[in-house]
Amino acid sequence: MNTASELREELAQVFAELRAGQIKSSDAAELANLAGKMIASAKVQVEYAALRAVVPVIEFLKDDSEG
Amino acid sequence: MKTCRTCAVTMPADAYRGTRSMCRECENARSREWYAAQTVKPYQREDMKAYYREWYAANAESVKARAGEWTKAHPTERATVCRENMRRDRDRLGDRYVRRMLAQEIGVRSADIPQPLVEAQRELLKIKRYIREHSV
Repeated sequence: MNTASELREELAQVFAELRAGQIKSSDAAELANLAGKMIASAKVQVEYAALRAVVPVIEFLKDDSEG
Repeated sequence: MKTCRTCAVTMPADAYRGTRSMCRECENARSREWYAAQTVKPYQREDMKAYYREWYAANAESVKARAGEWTKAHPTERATVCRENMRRDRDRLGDRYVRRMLAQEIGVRSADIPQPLVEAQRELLKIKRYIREHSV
């Protein structure tokens, strides 16, 4: 998992499994917690780019369609 | 009187658009079906977004003027509409709601939040909500 788009797909999968009762809430909560950490680090990168007043070039936040 | 070729019900001519052979109700149902089947809604398409932007740029003044008039004429309704829009956006975790949440946390403008981050955050919020709503 290298990009936010892949993270989103992974989370969507977790959500579908959670709704279907295929994984326990506690497991989903752990995965959500981990995803939260990844998103938090991306937020820091966005904040840093904003502080420097530059357009952020963040690999993790690149759209998959950008290639 | 005319018989609809889809529902086979005989109705007066004003139940049809022009000379069409499908009644308004069947046409509307078909349109709704088509719309629901679109994974990318027309308003999400880049060409349509460009069209809306262009149209708004050309008509911004009249749109703002009309909105201003309506607000003056309906002061309490305006607040209700805003509240209702925000509630709906929050319930369905709309782009605007998620963007605003991230923007407040990071301290940047909503428009500066990259879309992939918005989408990842939305999925995360869905999971958190589900766990909160279904925990005993």
